[in-house]
Amino acid sequence: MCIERSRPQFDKKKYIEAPQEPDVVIYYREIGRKEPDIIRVYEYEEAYVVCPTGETKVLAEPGFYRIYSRPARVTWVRLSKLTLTVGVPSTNLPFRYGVHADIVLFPKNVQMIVIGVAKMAREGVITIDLIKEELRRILRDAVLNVKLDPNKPRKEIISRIHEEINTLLKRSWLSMFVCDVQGIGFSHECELAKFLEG
Amino acid sequence: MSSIVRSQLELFISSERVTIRNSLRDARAEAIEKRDYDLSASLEEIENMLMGFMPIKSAFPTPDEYINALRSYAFTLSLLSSLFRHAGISTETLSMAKKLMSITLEKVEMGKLIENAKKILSEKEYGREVFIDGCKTYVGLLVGRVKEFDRQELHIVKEALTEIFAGGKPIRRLSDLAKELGAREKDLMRILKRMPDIDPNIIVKEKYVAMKNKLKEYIEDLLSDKGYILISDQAKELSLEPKYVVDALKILRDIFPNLRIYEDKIVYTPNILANYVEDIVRESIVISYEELAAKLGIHPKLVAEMLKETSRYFSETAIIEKVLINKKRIVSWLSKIFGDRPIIFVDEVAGIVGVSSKTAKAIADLAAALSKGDIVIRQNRVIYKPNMIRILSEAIREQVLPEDIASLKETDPRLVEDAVYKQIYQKLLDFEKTVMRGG
Repeated sequence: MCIERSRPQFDKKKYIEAPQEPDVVIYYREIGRKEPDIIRVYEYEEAYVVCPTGETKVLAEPGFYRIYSRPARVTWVRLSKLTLTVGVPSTNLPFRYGVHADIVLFPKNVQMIVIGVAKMAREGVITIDLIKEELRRILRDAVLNVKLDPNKPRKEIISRIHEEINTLLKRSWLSMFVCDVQGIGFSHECELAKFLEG
Repeated sequence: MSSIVRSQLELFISSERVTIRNSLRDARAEAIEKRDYDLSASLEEIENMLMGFMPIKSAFPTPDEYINALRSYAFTLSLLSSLFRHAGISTETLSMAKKLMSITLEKVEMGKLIENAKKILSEKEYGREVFIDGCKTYVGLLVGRVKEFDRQELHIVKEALTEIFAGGKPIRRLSDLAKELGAREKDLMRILKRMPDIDPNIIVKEKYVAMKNKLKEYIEDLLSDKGYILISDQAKELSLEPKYVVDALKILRDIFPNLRIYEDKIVYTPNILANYVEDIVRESIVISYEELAAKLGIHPKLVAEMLKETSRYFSETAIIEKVLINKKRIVSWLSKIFGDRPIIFVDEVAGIVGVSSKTAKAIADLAAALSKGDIVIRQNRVIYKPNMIRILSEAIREQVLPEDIASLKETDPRLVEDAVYKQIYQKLLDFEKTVMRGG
C-alpha cells in the first residue's frame, strides 16, 4: 500500500484536495513526484487511491493522507445525493410536448468510477452539468422507449420511467449511479418545462 | 502492548466500517432501484450512524478507557459484518444492527455489551451463528498480534468457545479450533491457557479443548443409550487420540464423580451399566461373562472387574460363578429345557450354558429355590415335578412305571412315592367329586 494517515496540514500549498465548487461530483488526478505528497479528504467525500503497484485503497474517513509511493492516481467522489431536474424539450421529441423529471442520483458502486470514468486523462472533473447532459439524453431515450402516454396515472408513468432510466443508466458511463425518479412533468403542465423548451 | 492493541483495533474499526458501508450503499442503491423507500431510509439511517461509529480519543480521560471503547466498537462491528454476511441486509437485520450500535454507544462495559448483544441476536434463529462468527472475527483480529488477551477479551473468547461447543462436539482438537478461529495453534494456546481462570468449565490441554458441562451431557447421553462407552470408539468419533479422551474424562470426574474409567478402555457409571446389563440378562435369562463380554465388545476379564462393583445395583439378576441369571425367568427357562421330560441331568444344563457341571448345579439349585418346590435337585439330576406328576398319573392308569421314574425311585424312593401317593389321593378326590355330583 502506498498511503498512510498524516498529520493535519494548514498550508494549502502542501496538500492536494478536490475543487470545492459544489458542482464538482468527481475529481481525478494523477499525483506525480514533483507535487505535494499529501492529500485531503473531506467528510462529504471519499477518495480512491490507485498505487503504482495497482492496488486500490479506499479513503472513507476524512483527514489527511500521505502518499509515499508515486505516481498514484487519486479520485475524489462527492457522496451527497444529487437532486437534479432534467428536461427534454418538445423539439427533441416526436410529440407535441416536452418532458421533465426530478431525479435523485445515488452512487452505487463507487469503485467503478476509478476503473471507468477517471482513467480518461491525467486530471479532470465530472461536474453536475456533464451528468445532467447525459441524463437528458437518457431521459429522452426512456420517454421514447416506454411510449409515454400523459393521460395514464402519474404514479404509473413515474414507475415506468424510473425503471427505464435505471436500465439505461447501467448502459451509460453513469453506470456507477442509480436514480430515483421522484416526479415527471409535461410541458403543458408547468412553467419550468415551458422555460426549458424556450 | 496496549499500543499494539490500540492500533490494531483502530485499523480494524476503520476498515470494517468501510466494508460495511459499501455493502449498505450497494443495498441502498438496490432498494432505490426497486423503489423500496422504507428500506432505503433505514439504510441511510444506519449508514449515517456508522459514519460516526468510532470512539474519539479526546473524549476519554485515560488511554485505557479509550482502548476499552475501541474494543466495544470493534466487537460490535465484527457482529454487524457477520450479521449482514449471514442474514443479508433487510429491515429486520437493520433494526438489529441499530440496536447493537445503540448499546455500544451507551458505553456499557464489555461483559454487559456481550450479554446484551447475545440477547439481541438470539431473537432470531440465525443469531447464534452470527454471534459465533462475530466473536471469531474479533478473536482472529487480535490472536497472534498480542501476546496475552485482556480479561474482557478473554470473555469474548469464552463466549465464542461456548457457542462453538454448543453446536458440536464437546471436546475438540486444538488444531481444529485454531482453524475454526482462523489462528495459529501456538498463538491460540497462548490465549487459551488462561481460560480456565475465567471459566473453570473449560478444559484447556496441549492438544485439546473441552467444555466440562457439554462433555458431561455428551457422556450421559451416550451412557443412557448404550450403558457404557468404549474409549477407542469415542476417540475415533472425536478424532482424538484415546489418551486425550481418557485424560479429559478423568478431569470430568470433578463434576461427574460416579463416572468410572476402567483400565483406560471403558467408561461407565455403575448404576447405568447395571441397568444395561440387567436388560441383556432379562433377554438372555442365563448368560456367561464370555457372552456378555462379546456383546459389550470387551475382554471377559474386564467384565468380571466391572461387575464386581456394578452387581450391587442389580435388582433381578443373580451371579453364580461367572454366569448372570435373571431370577424372575430362570424357572420358566429351565422348564423349557425339560420339555415333556421329568428329569434332566445337570450336565445338560452345563452344556447349554457352556459352564462346568458345578456351576450348572448351582444354577439349578437357584432355580429350585425360586420354583416353590416345582424343581428338585437330586445329586446330578434335576427333577421337574409337574412333568413327573403328569407322567405318574398316566403310569397309575396304565400300571407301568416309566424307566426314568423307576430309576429315580431306586435312588430316591421317598420323592417318587410321595408323588405317587399325592396322585392317588388326587384321583380319589376326583372320583369322590364325580360320585357326589351323581354322574
